[in-house]
Amino acid sequence: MNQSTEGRERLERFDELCRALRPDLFRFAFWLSRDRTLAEDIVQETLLRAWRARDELRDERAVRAWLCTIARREHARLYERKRLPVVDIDGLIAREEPMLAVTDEAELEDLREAIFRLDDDYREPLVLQVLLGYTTEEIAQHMGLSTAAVLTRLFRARNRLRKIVAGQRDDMASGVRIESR
Amino acid sequence: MNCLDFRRTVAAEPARESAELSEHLLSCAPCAEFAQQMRSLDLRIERALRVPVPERAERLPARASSTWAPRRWALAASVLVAVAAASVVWLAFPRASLAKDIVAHARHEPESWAAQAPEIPRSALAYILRDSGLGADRQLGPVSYARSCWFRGHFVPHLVVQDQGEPVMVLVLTEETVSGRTPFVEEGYSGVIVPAHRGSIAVLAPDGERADAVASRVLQALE
Repeated sequence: MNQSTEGRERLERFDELCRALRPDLFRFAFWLSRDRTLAEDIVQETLLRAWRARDELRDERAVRAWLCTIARREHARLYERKRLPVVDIDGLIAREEPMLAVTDEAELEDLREAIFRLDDDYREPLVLQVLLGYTTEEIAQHMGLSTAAVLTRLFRARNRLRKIVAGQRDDMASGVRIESR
Repeated sequence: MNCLDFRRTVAAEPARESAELSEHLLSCAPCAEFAQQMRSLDLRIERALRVPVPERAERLPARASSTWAPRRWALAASVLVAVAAASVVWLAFPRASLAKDIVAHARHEPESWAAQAPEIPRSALAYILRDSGLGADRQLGPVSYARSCWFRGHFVPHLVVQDQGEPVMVLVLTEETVSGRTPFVEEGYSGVIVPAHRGSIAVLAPDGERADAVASRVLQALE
């Protein structure tokens, strides 16, 4: 096999991997930034950086974690570069309403809003664990935390969401719809 | 393991399994219920996190190196073949297919057709239009529904404008061109497709006259 054929096959494999992982990467970027446009920018930049650094990837099984790490750095860089203002959660929710309201199930919609309102420190490990299937140790490594700190954040994140969901259920049972917006 | 430790562990890692956890689960009914609630909550969290992925995020990096060139040419060639094939179909079934697709799309989202539905926030409308590089002024009138919908290979703004208390559907088809005003009646729906600055605009209304009036208003309102 000559070098150019080998190179092309490698590129095609890289392309396949990126295509397969792009939905996960977009969702991770979306929940990090809470903004669809920013998420798309992050994905674009992440893939570009990954493309440039593709020779650094030795193990294909690690590609998702590798891309998420790049996305996380890119998200931080984007905030630094654009000097984005302090986040107004109500404004964000109003802006992302079409993205959040993709289902008729009001409960799911409310849950998305509640996740939107979680602190970044709680939201990110939750997304990594639930959406991307990271273990606690992997989250700790990704975020540069101890496993105990990750467990605490995951516990608090779920506890908050559980209280919100329970509150909604109580309100629905008494015929009152919660107004959390 | 006591109840507090059990609950902290389960809330942090609902999928975790261990002999200690199992033992406590079997001996404590309230904690067993808590674990069940957590598993159920996690399923809902996972569904909530799976937001739709926009088409743009499915594209390759735009600035990827020139090594992509042969692939691009192959893609371009396949697109040309597809366009040629589509043109044959299009010529064989003049404009009916577009009208059919518009009506099929309307039928696919019946929830959008609520009469006298409340107006959505302008910010939500602006968000959807901005996604297609568009804007609108207030001449558009009250809009009760706005989504970016997948239509013929592109995301397009799907709006419902309330006109005289009745819903009128508007699809802004930036990638579809028509040579002139094209009225149609399809499966009991009256509509019109009109050429726009970018592509065309399709309107489905209770009658053809109303469709024309709304189309004209949308044309003026869209920037």
